[in-house]
Amino acid sequence: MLPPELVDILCEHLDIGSLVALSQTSTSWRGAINDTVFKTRLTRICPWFEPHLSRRFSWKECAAVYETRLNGGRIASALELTSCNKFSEPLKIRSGAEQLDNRKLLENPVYTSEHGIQVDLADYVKHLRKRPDYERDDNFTRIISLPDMLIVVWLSSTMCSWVNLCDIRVKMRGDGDGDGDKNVSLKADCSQQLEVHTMPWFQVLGTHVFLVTIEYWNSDRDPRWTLWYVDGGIRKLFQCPGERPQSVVCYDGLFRYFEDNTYHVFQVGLDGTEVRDSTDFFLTALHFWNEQDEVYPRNNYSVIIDENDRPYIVDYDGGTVHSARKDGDVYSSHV
Amino acid sequence: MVTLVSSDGVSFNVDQKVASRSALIKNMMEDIGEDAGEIPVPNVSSNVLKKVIEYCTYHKDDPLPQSGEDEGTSAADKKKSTVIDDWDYNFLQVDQEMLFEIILTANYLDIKPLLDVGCKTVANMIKGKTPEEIRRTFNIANDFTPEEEAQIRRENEWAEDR
Repeated sequence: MLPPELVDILCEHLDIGSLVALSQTSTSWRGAINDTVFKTRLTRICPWFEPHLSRRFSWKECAAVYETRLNGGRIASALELTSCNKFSEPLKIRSGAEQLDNRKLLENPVYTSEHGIQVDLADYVKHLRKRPDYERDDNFTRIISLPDMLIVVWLSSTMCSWVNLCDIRVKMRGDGDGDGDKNVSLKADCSQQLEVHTMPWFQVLGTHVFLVTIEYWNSDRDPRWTLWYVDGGIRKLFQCPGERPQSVVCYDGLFRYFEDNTYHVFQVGLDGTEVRDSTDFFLTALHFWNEQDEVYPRNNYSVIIDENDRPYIVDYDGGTVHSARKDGDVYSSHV
Repeated sequence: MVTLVSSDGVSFNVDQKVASRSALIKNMMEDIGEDAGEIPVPNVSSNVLKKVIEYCTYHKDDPLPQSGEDEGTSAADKKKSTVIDDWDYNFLQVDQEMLFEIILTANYLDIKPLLDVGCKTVANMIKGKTPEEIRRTFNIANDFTPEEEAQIRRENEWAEDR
Protein backbone atom coordinates (compact mmCIF):
# COMPACT_ATOMS: atom_id res chain seq x y z
CA MET A 1 0.00 0.00 0.00
CA LEU A 2 1.35 3.42 -0.99
CA PRO A 3 1.22 6.45 1.32
CA PRO A 4 -1.89 8.60 0.75
CA GLU A 5 -0.16 11.37 -1.22
CA LEU A 6 1.14 8.78 -3.69
CA VAL A 7 -2.27 7.14 -3.97
CA ASP A 8 -3.58 10.54 -5.10
CA ILE A 9 -0.94 10.77 -7.82
CA LEU A 10 -1.63 7.21 -8.93
CA CYS A 11 -5.38 7.92 -9.07
CA GLU A 12 -4.72 10.85 -11.42
CA HIS A 13 -3.38 8.37 -13.95
CA LEU A 14 -6.35 6.01 -13.76
CA ASP A 15 -9.65 6.15 -15.60
CA ILE A 16 -12.88 5.92 -13.61
CA GLY A 17 -13.43 2.25 -14.47
CA SER A 18 -9.97 1.29 -13.18
CA LEU A 19 -10.54 3.34 -10.02
CA VAL A 20 -13.74 1.41 -9.36
CA ALA A 21 -11.95 -1.91 -9.96
CA LEU A 22 -9.05 -0.95 -7.65
CA SER A 23 -11.49 0.10 -4.93
CA GLN A 24 -12.97 -3.40 -5.12
CA THR A 25 -9.73 -5.26 -4.39
CA SER A 26 -9.30 -4.89 -0.62
CA THR A 27 -10.46 -2.98 2.44
CA SER A 28 -7.45 -0.68 2.44
CA TRP A 29 -7.82 0.23 -1.24
CA ARG A 30 -11.53 0.69 -0.69
CA GLY A 31 -10.70 3.15 2.08
CA ALA A 32 -8.05 4.95 0.01
CA ILE A 33 -10.25 5.40 -3.05
CA ASN A 34 -13.21 6.93 -1.30
CA ASP A 35 -16.09 8.97 -2.63
CA THR A 36 -14.03 12.19 -2.55
CA VAL A 37 -11.72 10.75 -5.22
CA PHE A 38 -14.69 10.21 -7.52
CA LYS A 39 -16.17 13.57 -6.63
CA THR A 40 -12.92 15.35 -7.54
CA ARG A 41 -12.74 13.45 -10.80
CA LEU A 42 -16.34 13.92 -11.89
CA THR A 43 -16.49 17.56 -10.80
CA ARG A 44 -13.79 18.31 -13.34
CA ILE A 45 -15.71 16.89 -16.29
CA CYS A 46 -19.37 16.83 -15.32
CA PRO A 47 -19.95 18.92 -12.16
CA TRP A 48 -23.74 18.86 -12.53
CA PHE A 49 -23.88 15.07 -12.12
CA GLU A 50 -24.18 15.34 -8.36
CA PRO A 51 -25.75 12.49 -6.39
CA HIS A 52 -28.55 14.70 -5.04
CA LEU A 53 -29.31 15.99 -8.55
CA SER A 54 -29.69 12.48 -9.88
CA ARG A 55 -31.07 9.14 -8.87
CA ARG A 56 -27.65 7.95 -7.64
CA PHE A 57 -26.48 7.42 -4.08
CA SER A 58 -22.80 8.34 -4.30
CA TRP A 59 -20.27 10.19 -6.43
CA LYS A 60 -18.74 6.83 -7.17
CA GLU A 61 -21.99 5.64 -8.68
CA CYS A 62 -22.38 8.87 -10.68
CA ALA A 63 -18.83 8.54 -12.01
CA ALA A 64 -19.28 4.87 -12.89
CA VAL A 65 -22.56 5.56 -14.68
CA TYR A 66 -20.99 8.52 -16.52
CA GLU A 67 -18.23 6.30 -17.84
CA THR A 68 -20.58 3.43 -18.69
CA ARG A 69 -22.60 5.79 -20.86
CA LEU A 70 -19.45 6.87 -22.69
CA ASN A 71 -18.80 3.25 -23.52
CA GLY A 72 -22.01 2.88 -25.46
CA GLY A 73 -25.46 1.59 -24.81
CA ARG A 74 -28.79 3.36 -24.93
CA ILE A 75 -29.35 6.40 -22.79
CA ALA A 76 -32.78 7.39 -24.13
CA SER A 77 -35.33 4.78 -23.18
CA ALA A 78 -38.84 5.18 -24.49
CA LEU A 79 -41.26 7.17 -22.36
CA GLU A 80 -44.61 5.66 -21.54
CA LEU A 81 -47.93 7.43 -21.16
CA THR A 82 -49.64 6.35 -17.96
CA SER A 83 -52.81 7.43 -16.27
CA CYS A 84 -51.82 6.65 -12.69
CA ASN A 85 -52.40 9.48 -10.28
CA LYS A 86 -48.81 9.91 -9.27
CA PHE A 87 -48.89 13.67 -9.01
CA SER A 88 -51.73 14.03 -6.53
CA GLU A 89 -49.28 16.36 -4.81
CA PRO A 90 -49.25 19.23 -7.28
CA LEU A 91 -45.94 19.80 -9.02
CA LYS A 92 -44.94 23.34 -8.33
CA ILE A 93 -43.17 24.94 -11.24
CA ARG A 94 -42.09 28.52 -11.06
CA SER A 95 -42.12 30.18 -14.44
CA GLY A 96 -40.75 33.54 -15.41
CA ALA A 97 -37.52 34.91 -14.00
CA GLU A 98 -36.99 38.16 -12.18
CA GLN A 99 -36.56 41.24 -14.38
CA LEU A 100 -34.43 44.33 -13.94
CA ASP A 101 -36.19 47.33 -12.50
CA ASN A 102 -35.33 50.06 -15.01
CA ARG A 103 -36.55 52.95 -12.90
CA LYS A 104 -34.34 51.98 -9.96
CA LEU A 105 -31.33 51.40 -12.20
CA LEU A 106 -31.64 54.83 -13.77
CA GLU A 107 -31.16 56.21 -10.27
CA ASN A 108 -28.41 53.81 -9.26
CA PRO A 109 -26.76 51.51 -11.84
CA VAL A 110 -25.48 49.10 -9.18
CA TYR A 111 -27.80 46.14 -8.80
CA THR A 112 -27.71 44.18 -5.55
CA SER A 113 -29.08 40.65 -5.59
CA GLU A 114 -31.18 39.15 -2.82
CA HIS A 115 -28.00 37.30 -1.75
CA GLY A 116 -26.02 40.52 -1.54
CA ILE A 117 -23.94 40.19 -4.71
CA GLN A 118 -23.48 43.51 -6.48
CA VAL A 119 -22.96 44.20 -10.15
CA ASP A 120 -22.43 47.53 -11.87
CA LEU A 121 -24.84 47.73 -14.80
CA ALA A 122 -23.67 51.10 -16.17
CA ASP A 123 -23.52 49.59 -19.69
CA TYR A 124 -27.11 48.56 -19.47
CA VAL A 125 -28.18 51.95 -18.15
CA LYS A 126 -26.30 53.69 -20.97
CA HIS A 127 -28.21 51.50 -23.41
CA LEU A 128 -31.42 52.28 -21.57
CA ARG A 129 -30.91 56.04 -21.82
CA LYS A 130 -30.40 55.78 -25.57
CA ARG A 131 -33.68 53.91 -25.99
CA PRO A 132 -36.43 55.50 -23.92
CA ASP A 133 -39.02 53.12 -25.38
CA TYR A 134 -36.96 50.18 -24.11
CA GLU A 135 -38.43 50.73 -20.72
CA ARG A 136 -41.74 49.46 -21.95
CA ASP A 137 -40.28 46.10 -22.96
CA ASP A 138 -40.61 43.88 -20.00
CA ASN A 139 -39.26 40.67 -21.48
CA PHE A 140 -35.80 41.81 -22.41
CA THR A 141 -33.94 41.28 -19.17
CA ARG A 142 -33.36 38.30 -16.89
CA ILE A 143 -31.82 37.91 -13.47
CA ILE A 144 -30.65 34.58 -12.11
CA SER A 145 -29.69 34.99 -8.50
CA LEU A 146 -27.95 32.17 -6.65
CA PRO A 147 -26.21 32.31 -3.27
CA ASP A 148 -22.75 32.48 -4.87
CA MET A 149 -23.47 33.69 -8.37
CA LEU A 150 -25.46 36.43 -10.00
CA ILE A 151 -26.25 36.44 -13.71
CA VAL A 152 -27.83 39.39 -15.47
CA VAL A 153 -28.85 39.17 -19.11
CA TRP A 154 -30.27 41.82 -21.38
CA LEU A 155 -31.15 41.91 -25.03
CA SER A 156 -30.57 44.77 -27.37
CA SER A 157 -31.84 44.68 -30.91
CA THR A 158 -29.70 45.44 -33.91
CA MET A 159 -30.54 46.94 -37.29
CA CYS A 160 -31.67 43.53 -38.44
CA SER A 161 -34.90 42.59 -36.74
CA TRP A 162 -33.94 38.90 -36.60
CA VAL A 163 -30.70 39.47 -34.78
CA ASN A 164 -30.46 40.53 -31.19
CA LEU A 165 -27.41 41.06 -29.08
CA CYS A 166 -27.49 39.37 -25.76
CA ASP A 167 -25.28 40.78 -23.02
CA ILE A 168 -24.48 38.40 -20.21
CA ARG A 169 -22.88 39.51 -16.97
CA VAL A 170 -21.75 36.90 -14.47
CA LYS A 171 -20.62 37.90 -11.02
CA MET A 172 -19.28 35.38 -8.54
CA ARG A 173 -19.22 35.96 -4.82
CA GLY A 174 -15.72 37.03 -3.79
CA ASP A 175 -15.04 38.86 -7.03
CA GLY A 176 -13.29 42.15 -6.76
CA ASP A 177 -13.29 42.53 -3.00
CA GLY A 178 -9.76 41.20 -2.65
CA ASP A 179 -10.21 39.28 0.55
CA GLY A 180 -12.45 36.64 -0.97
CA ASP A 181 -11.64 32.96 -1.11
CA LYS A 182 -8.75 32.40 -3.53
CA ASN A 183 -10.57 29.79 -5.55
CA VAL A 184 -13.59 31.96 -6.02
CA SER A 185 -11.73 35.11 -6.97
CA LEU A 186 -9.86 33.16 -9.64
CA LYS A 187 -13.12 33.06 -11.51
CA ALA A 188 -13.15 36.54 -12.94
CA ASP A 189 -16.24 38.60 -13.28
CA CYS A 190 -17.36 37.72 -16.76
CA SER A 191 -19.10 39.66 -19.43
CA GLN A 192 -19.97 38.31 -22.83
CA GLN A 193 -22.05 39.34 -25.81
CA LEU A 194 -23.75 36.77 -28.02
CA GLU A 195 -25.78 37.10 -31.19
CA VAL A 196 -29.15 35.52 -30.64
CA HIS A 197 -32.54 35.29 -32.25
CA THR A 198 -34.55 35.60 -29.09
CA MET A 199 -34.21 35.92 -25.33
CA PRO A 200 -32.14 32.99 -24.03
CA TRP A 201 -33.62 30.84 -21.31
CA PHE A 202 -32.11 29.36 -18.21
CA GLN A 203 -32.02 26.04 -16.45
CA VAL A 204 -31.02 26.11 -12.82
CA LEU A 205 -30.04 22.79 -11.26
CA GLY A 206 -28.76 23.10 -7.70
CA THR A 207 -25.86 25.54 -8.00
CA HIS A 208 -25.50 24.89 -11.73
CA VAL A 209 -26.81 27.26 -14.35
CA PHE A 210 -27.32 26.41 -18.00
CA LEU A 211 -28.25 28.79 -20.73
CA VAL A 212 -29.98 27.96 -23.99
CA THR A 213 -29.55 30.40 -26.84
CA ILE A 214 -31.16 30.25 -30.25
CA GLU A 215 -29.20 31.79 -33.06
CA TYR A 216 -30.78 33.79 -35.80
CA TRP A 217 -31.14 32.03 -39.14
CA ASN A 218 -31.91 32.90 -42.72
CA SER A 219 -31.96 31.23 -46.10
CA ASP A 220 -28.19 30.65 -45.95
CA ARG A 221 -28.05 29.57 -42.41
CA ASP A 222 -29.92 26.73 -40.74
CA PRO A 223 -31.39 27.35 -37.33
CA ARG A 224 -29.45 25.99 -34.42
CA TRP A 225 -29.37 26.36 -30.70
CA THR A 226 -26.60 26.22 -28.16
CA LEU A 227 -26.36 25.04 -24.60
CA TRP A 228 -23.97 26.94 -22.32
CA TYR A 229 -22.71 26.27 -18.84
CA VAL A 230 -22.31 29.34 -16.66
CA ASP A 231 -19.77 28.93 -13.86
CA GLY A 232 -17.94 32.22 -13.58
CA GLY A 233 -17.29 31.98 -17.29
CA ILE A 234 -19.66 31.02 -20.06
CA ARG A 235 -18.72 27.75 -21.67
CA LYS A 236 -20.25 26.27 -24.78
CA LEU A 237 -21.34 22.71 -24.05
CA PHE A 238 -23.33 21.62 -27.00
CA GLN A 239 -24.70 22.84 -30.29
CA CYS A 240 -27.67 21.36 -32.11
CA PRO A 241 -29.55 21.91 -35.32
CA GLY A 242 -33.17 22.94 -34.79
CA GLU A 243 -35.11 26.03 -33.88
CA ARG A 244 -37.41 24.90 -31.16
CA PRO A 245 -36.20 22.43 -28.56
CA GLN A 246 -38.73 22.05 -25.79
CA SER A 247 -38.15 21.46 -22.13
CA VAL A 248 -34.35 21.27 -22.10
CA VAL A 249 -33.59 19.93 -18.64
CA CYS A 250 -30.56 18.48 -16.94
CA TYR A 251 -31.01 15.63 -14.49
CA ASP A 252 -29.03 12.52 -13.59
CA GLY A 253 -26.07 13.83 -15.59
CA LEU A 254 -28.16 13.86 -18.77
CA PHE A 255 -29.67 16.64 -20.83
CA ARG A 256 -33.05 15.92 -22.35
CA TYR A 257 -35.29 17.80 -24.70
CA PHE A 258 -38.20 17.25 -27.02
CA GLU A 259 -38.53 18.34 -30.57
CA ASP A 260 -41.65 17.47 -32.55
CA ASN A 261 -42.00 13.70 -32.33
CA THR A 262 -38.57 12.94 -30.96
CA TYR A 263 -37.19 12.67 -27.46
CA HIS A 264 -33.49 13.47 -27.30
CA VAL A 265 -31.02 12.62 -24.55
CA PHE A 266 -27.37 13.52 -24.36
CA GLN A 267 -24.47 13.42 -21.99
CA VAL A 268 -21.74 15.96 -22.40
CA GLY A 269 -18.56 16.59 -20.43
CA LEU A 270 -16.46 19.71 -20.00
CA ASP A 271 -13.66 17.70 -21.62
CA GLY A 272 -15.64 17.69 -24.87
CA THR A 273 -16.81 14.08 -24.77
CA GLU A 274 -20.37 13.67 -25.87
CA VAL A 275 -22.83 10.84 -26.36
CA ARG A 276 -26.32 11.26 -27.64
CA ASP A 277 -29.34 9.14 -28.25
CA SER A 278 -32.92 9.73 -29.28
CA THR A 279 -36.16 7.85 -29.50
CA ASP A 280 -39.60 8.36 -31.02
CA PHE A 281 -42.08 10.26 -28.92
CA PHE A 282 -45.82 9.70 -29.15
CA LEU A 283 -46.74 13.38 -28.73
CA THR A 284 -45.91 16.32 -30.90
CA ALA A 285 -44.08 18.62 -28.54
CA LEU A 286 -44.84 22.23 -29.23
CA HIS A 287 -42.60 25.03 -28.29
CA PHE A 288 -43.52 28.37 -26.76
CA TRP A 289 -40.83 30.99 -26.88
CA ASN A 290 -41.62 32.67 -23.64
CA GLU A 291 -42.62 29.82 -21.41
CA GLN A 292 -39.21 28.26 -21.07
CA ASP A 293 -37.84 29.81 -17.91
CA GLU A 294 -39.37 27.18 -15.75
CA VAL A 295 -37.73 26.11 -12.55
CA TYR A 296 -38.41 22.52 -11.62
CA PRO A 297 -37.95 21.30 -8.07
CA ARG A 298 -35.19 18.85 -8.92
CA ASN A 299 -35.46 18.41 -12.69
CA ASN A 300 -36.54 14.80 -12.33
CA TYR A 301 -39.81 16.15 -13.76
CA SER A 302 -40.52 18.56 -16.54
CA VAL A 303 -43.56 19.80 -18.37
CA ILE A 304 -44.13 19.60 -22.09
CA ILE A 305 -46.92 21.10 -24.12
CA ASP A 306 -48.36 19.18 -27.05
CA GLU A 307 -49.67 20.56 -30.34
CA ASN A 308 -53.15 20.88 -28.87
CA ASP A 309 -51.87 23.05 -26.03
CA ARG A 310 -52.26 20.28 -23.51
CA PRO A 311 -49.60 20.06 -20.76
CA TYR A 312 -48.00 16.80 -19.72
CA ILE A 313 -45.69 16.03 -16.82
CA VAL A 314 -42.69 13.87 -17.71
CA ASP A 315 -41.24 11.78 -14.88
CA TYR A 316 -37.65 10.93 -15.83
CA ASP A 317 -37.09 8.52 -12.92
CA GLY A 318 -40.10 6.45 -13.84
CA GLY A 319 -39.81 6.98 -17.60
CA THR A 320 -43.47 7.96 -17.69
CA VAL A 321 -45.61 10.77 -19.09
CA HIS A 322 -48.71 11.99 -17.27
CA SER A 323 -51.50 14.12 -18.58
CA ALA A 324 -51.60 17.32 -16.51
CA ARG A 325 -53.51 20.51 -15.88
CA LYS A 326 -52.24 23.91 -14.97
CA ASP A 327 -53.54 26.21 -12.25
CA GLY A 328 -51.43 29.33 -12.06
CA ASP A 329 -47.85 28.17 -11.74
CA VAL A 330 -48.82 24.74 -10.49
CA TYR A 331 -49.17 21.63 -12.58
CA SER A 332 -50.95 18.57 -11.27
CA SER A 333 -52.09 15.19 -12.54
CA HIS A 334 -55.12 15.31 -14.71
CA VAL A 335 -57.09 12.24 -13.73
CA MET B 1 30.99 16.15 -7.14
CA VAL B 2 28.86 15.18 -4.20
CA THR B 3 28.75 11.94 -2.25
CA LEU B 4 25.41 10.29 -1.47
CA VAL B 5 25.39 7.66 1.25
CA SER B 6 22.67 5.02 1.26
CA SER B 7 20.99 3.61 4.37
CA ASP B 8 23.26 0.55 4.23
CA GLY B 9 26.37 2.77 4.15
CA VAL B 10 27.31 2.58 0.47
CA SER B 11 28.76 5.83 -0.97
CA PHE B 12 28.02 7.05 -4.48
CA ASN B 13 30.04 9.86 -6.06
CA VAL B 14 27.66 11.84 -8.20
CA ASP B 15 27.97 14.89 -10.43
CA GLN B 16 26.23 17.91 -8.91
CA LYS B 17 24.12 18.26 -12.01
CA VAL B 18 22.92 14.67 -11.62
CA ALA B 19 22.26 15.07 -7.89
CA SER B 20 20.26 18.27 -8.41
CA ARG B 21 17.60 16.28 -10.30
CA SER B 22 16.43 15.72 -6.74
CA ALA B 23 14.85 18.92 -5.52
CA LEU B 24 15.59 17.83 -1.94
CA ILE B 25 19.33 17.37 -2.56
CA LYS B 26 19.47 20.49 -4.75
CA ASN B 27 18.10 22.56 -1.86
CA MET B 28 20.50 20.90 0.57
CA MET B 29 23.47 21.68 -1.68
CA GLU B 30 22.34 25.26 -2.00
CA ASP B 31 22.01 25.56 1.76
CA ILE B 32 25.33 23.93 2.60
CA GLY B 33 27.28 25.50 -0.27
CA GLU B 34 29.94 24.11 -2.60
CA ASP B 35 31.56 21.79 -0.08
CA ALA B 36 28.53 19.66 0.39
CA GLY B 37 30.70 16.64 1.12
CA GLU B 38 28.68 13.60 2.15
CA ILE B 39 24.91 13.67 2.03
CA PRO B 40 23.24 10.79 3.86
CA VAL B 41 20.13 9.38 2.23
CA PRO B 42 18.49 7.39 5.02
CA ASN B 43 15.59 5.05 4.21
CA VAL B 44 17.01 4.36 0.75
CA SER B 45 19.05 1.21 0.30
CA SER B 46 22.02 1.05 -2.05
CA ASN B 47 20.35 -1.07 -4.75
CA VAL B 48 17.46 1.42 -5.00
CA LEU B 49 19.70 4.49 -4.77
CA LYS B 50 21.85 3.06 -7.57
CA LYS B 51 18.77 2.76 -9.80
CA VAL B 52 17.61 6.26 -8.98
CA ILE B 53 21.07 7.69 -9.74
CA GLU B 54 20.97 5.83 -13.06
CA TYR B 55 17.71 7.64 -13.86
CA CYS B 56 19.07 11.03 -12.81
CA THR B 57 22.23 10.51 -14.88
CA TYR B 58 20.27 9.70 -18.02
CA HIS B 59 17.95 12.70 -17.49
CA LYS B 60 20.58 15.16 -16.22
CA ASP B 61 20.11 17.54 -19.18
CA ASP B 62 16.30 17.55 -19.21
CA PRO B 63 14.67 20.90 -18.51
CA LEU B 64 13.72 21.06 -14.86
CA PRO B 65 9.99 20.79 -14.19
CA GLN B 66 8.47 24.16 -13.37
CA SER B 67 7.74 24.47 -9.71
CA GLY B 68 4.39 25.85 -8.73
CA GLU B 69 2.75 25.08 -12.05
CA ASP B 70 -0.94 25.71 -11.86
CA GLU B 71 -3.52 23.01 -12.06
CA GLY B 72 -4.66 23.80 -15.58
CA THR B 73 -1.30 23.20 -17.24
CA SER B 74 -0.52 20.09 -15.26
CA ALA B 75 -3.88 18.59 -16.22
CA ALA B 76 -3.12 19.31 -19.87
CA ASP B 77 0.37 17.83 -19.49
CA LYS B 78 -1.07 14.70 -18.00
CA LYS B 79 -3.38 14.30 -20.91
CA LYS B 80 -0.71 14.46 -23.55
CA SER B 81 1.80 12.39 -21.62
CA THR B 82 -0.03 9.12 -21.14
CA VAL B 83 2.80 7.45 -23.04
CA ILE B 84 6.05 6.57 -21.33
CA ASP B 85 9.21 7.06 -23.35
CA ASP B 86 11.21 3.96 -24.28
CA TRP B 87 14.17 4.50 -22.01
CA ASP B 88 11.96 5.13 -18.97
CA TYR B 89 9.81 2.15 -19.87
CA ASN B 90 12.81 -0.19 -19.99
CA PHE B 91 14.29 1.41 -16.90
CA LEU B 92 11.14 0.55 -14.96
CA GLN B 93 10.99 -3.09 -16.09
CA VAL B 94 11.90 -4.21 -12.59
CA ASP B 95 10.20 -6.39 -10.04
CA GLN B 96 7.28 -4.88 -8.22
CA GLU B 97 9.04 -4.36 -4.94
CA MET B 98 11.77 -2.37 -6.70
CA LEU B 99 9.17 -0.35 -8.64
CA PHE B 100 7.42 0.69 -5.43
CA GLU B 101 10.80 1.44 -3.75
CA ILE B 102 11.70 3.67 -6.71
CA ILE B 103 8.38 5.52 -6.42
CA LEU B 104 8.81 6.01 -2.67
CA THR B 105 12.37 7.24 -3.16
CA ALA B 106 11.36 9.60 -5.98
CA ASN B 107 8.76 11.01 -3.60
CA TYR B 108 11.22 11.31 -0.72
CA LEU B 109 13.98 12.88 -2.83
CA ASP B 110 11.43 14.99 -4.69
CA ILE B 111 12.22 13.88 -8.23
CA LYS B 112 8.89 14.76 -9.84
CA PRO B 113 9.31 13.24 -13.33
CA LEU B 114 10.44 9.92 -11.87
CA LEU B 115 7.57 9.91 -9.40
CA ASP B 116 5.20 10.60 -12.24
CA VAL B 117 6.51 7.97 -14.60
CA GLY B 118 6.59 5.44 -11.76
CA CYS B 119 2.95 6.06 -10.88
CA LYS B 120 2.08 5.92 -14.57
CA THR B 121 3.74 2.50 -14.82
CA VAL B 122 1.72 1.23 -11.86
CA ALA B 123 -1.44 2.74 -13.40
CA ASN B 124 -0.75 0.87 -16.64
CA MET B 125 -0.51 -2.38 -14.68
CA ILE B 126 -4.00 -1.68 -13.27
CA LYS B 127 -5.83 -0.36 -16.33
CA GLY B 128 -8.39 -2.64 -17.91
CA LYS B 129 -8.08 -5.31 -15.23
CA THR B 130 -10.80 -6.82 -13.06
CA PRO B 131 -10.42 -6.54 -9.28
CA GLU B 132 -9.34 -10.20 -9.16
CA GLU B 133 -6.65 -9.60 -11.81
CA ILE B 134 -5.40 -6.54 -9.92
CA ARG B 135 -5.18 -8.62 -6.72
CA ARG B 136 -3.10 -11.23 -8.52
CA THR B 137 -0.82 -8.60 -10.08
CA PHE B 138 -0.07 -6.86 -6.80
CA ASN B 139 -0.52 -9.73 -4.35
CA ILE B 140 -3.42 -8.04 -2.63
CA ALA B 141 -5.40 -10.19 -0.20
CA ASN B 142 -9.17 -10.03 -0.49
CA ASP B 143 -10.14 -9.14 3.07
CA PHE B 144 -13.69 -7.92 2.50
CA THR B 145 -16.45 -8.62 4.96
CA PRO B 146 -19.66 -10.19 3.62
CA GLU B 147 -21.32 -6.75 3.91
CA GLU B 148 -18.63 -5.17 1.74
CA GLU B 149 -18.92 -8.03 -0.76
CA ALA B 150 -22.64 -7.33 -1.02
CA GLN B 151 -21.94 -3.61 -1.51
CA ILE B 152 -19.52 -4.41 -4.32
CA ARG B 153 -22.05 -6.67 -6.03
CA ARG B 154 -24.47 -3.73 -6.01
CA GLU B 155 -21.80 -1.44 -7.42
CA ASN B 156 -21.29 -3.78 -10.31
CA GLU B 157 -24.94 -3.51 -11.23
CA TRP B 158 -24.37 0.17 -12.13
CA ALA B 159 -22.48 -1.05 -15.15
CA GLU B 160 -25.75 -2.52 -16.40
CA ASP B 161 -27.49 0.84 -16.10
CA ARG B 162 -29.26 1.82 -19.27
